[in-house]
Amino acid sequence: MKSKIIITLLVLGVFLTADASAASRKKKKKGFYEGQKTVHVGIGFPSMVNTSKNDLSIYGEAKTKAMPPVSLRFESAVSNNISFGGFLGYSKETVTVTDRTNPKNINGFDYSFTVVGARAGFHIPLKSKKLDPYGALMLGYTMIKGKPFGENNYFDEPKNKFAYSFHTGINYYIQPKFALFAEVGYGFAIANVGATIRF
Amino acid sequence: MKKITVVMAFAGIIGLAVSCKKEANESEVNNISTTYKAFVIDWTADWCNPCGQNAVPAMAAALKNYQYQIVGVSLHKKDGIVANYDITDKLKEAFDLAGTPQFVVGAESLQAGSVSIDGKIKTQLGANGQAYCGIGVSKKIDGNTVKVNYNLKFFKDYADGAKVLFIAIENHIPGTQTGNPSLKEHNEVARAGDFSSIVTGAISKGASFEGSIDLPLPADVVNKDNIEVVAVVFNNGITAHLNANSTATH
Repeated sequence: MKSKIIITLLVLGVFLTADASAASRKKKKKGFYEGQKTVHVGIGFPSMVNTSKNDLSIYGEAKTKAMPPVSLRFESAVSNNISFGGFLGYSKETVTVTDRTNPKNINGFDYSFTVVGARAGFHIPLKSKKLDPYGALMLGYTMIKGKPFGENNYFDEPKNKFAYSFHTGINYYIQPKFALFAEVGYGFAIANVGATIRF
Repeated sequence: MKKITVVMAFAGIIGLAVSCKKEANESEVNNISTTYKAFVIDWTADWCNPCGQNAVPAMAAALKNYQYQIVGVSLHKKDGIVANYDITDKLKEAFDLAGTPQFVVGAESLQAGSVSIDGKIKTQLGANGQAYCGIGVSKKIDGNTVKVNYNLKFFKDYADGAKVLFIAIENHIPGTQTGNPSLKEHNEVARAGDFSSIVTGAISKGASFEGSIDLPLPADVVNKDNIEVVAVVFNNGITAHLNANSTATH
C-alpha cells in the first residue's frame, strides 16, 4: 500500500512538473493569486490519527509504532485570498502488546487510516512573489481498517470517524512553479512539510 | 548554611525514594491474562508415599513444561507443612477430593496414576485457546491478611456466570517428602483462600468486574514474603474452568 502511494505521487509529480513548465510562460504574479491551481505533497509529524488511545496496559506492555502520515492536496484559488480543494491522507500504525504474565503471548493490531476531505484556505496577500502565508481548515472522514495478530481476543473492529484539521503555514516558492511548504496546527498531523507544484 | 541546605536536599531525595518504593510483599494488579492458563491442584501430604513418587514431581514438571501456561496449587492434607485449613475443606468439597494423591485439572478431579496430568493439561490448553475471559490480580500483605485486588474482563458472551477462587500460596517451605527424599522444600502450598461469586447469570462480551477480597493467613505461615496469590475463574457451578492468573510470574 505504501509503495502504491509513493508511485502515484511520483507519477503525479512528473505530470504536474511538465504542465507547470507551460505555466511558467505566463506572466509572473504574487505568491498567491486568483486562478492558480496547486498540488501539495507532504509528510507529517507526529501522526494524530490512531486508535490506541484505550488503556491497553491492562493486557500487558503496549507499544505503538506509527508511520508518519503522508498527504496529497489539490487546491484552486477562487479569489486572491481564498482557495478550495481536496485532501487525501494515509497513515498506519502497529500496536504490540506483550502479556507480562506470559511473555510468550505477543499480540496486537495493525491499523491503516485513510483520510479524505475538503480543505479551504485563507491566504494573506504579500508583495513578495515567493511567499504565500495561509491558514486552512479541513473537514473530512477517516476510514480505519484494523487487523489483529497473535492470540488476540479483545480486538474490536475500528469505526470510521469524522476528521478535521486546522493549520497555519507558508508556501515558499523557490521557482515560480515550485515551492516548499511547512505548516503547524492540529489534525492529521501536528506539523506538515512538503512540496508544492503550481500550474 | 550551605551544608544544612545540602543535607536537607539529600534527606528530601532519600525520603522521596522511600515513599515511592513499593513494599516487597505488595504488587500492582497484574495485567489481565488474555490467553488461557490451565489450573492444576495437587492434592497431597508430606507423609503420603505415593504422592512423593507421583504427585509432587509431576506438578514440578508440569510447571516447567508449561511455563506461563498453568497456575498450580499444592493442597495439603494435615501434615508437617500445614494444619487443617479452611481452604483445604472448601476445595475438598468443591472438587470432590478424597484419598491422596489426586489432581484437579481445570474443574475436573482425577486420581493420580489413572491419567497423565501432562496429557490432561495439554487437552485443556488446546480446548481453550481463545479464553472466554482474563483476570489480573494483585496482593498486599497487611499484618496477617493478604489483601487481593482483581480485574476480570470477558472477551466473549458467556451464559453461565462466574465464580473466582482466590488462594494465597506459600513457596519455599523447608520440608522433606516421603517417597522423594531429594525434595527439600514445598512450593505452591495453599494457605488461605475463598470463592467469590461475581455473576450468577449471563455475562456480555466486554463486561468487566473489579473488586477486592481479604484472605486471613494462618499462624504457621513460614515467611510472608513468599506468599503469592492465584485467581482462578470458573463458571457459577464450578463445573467449567475459564481462566487463571497468579501474582507470581512463572
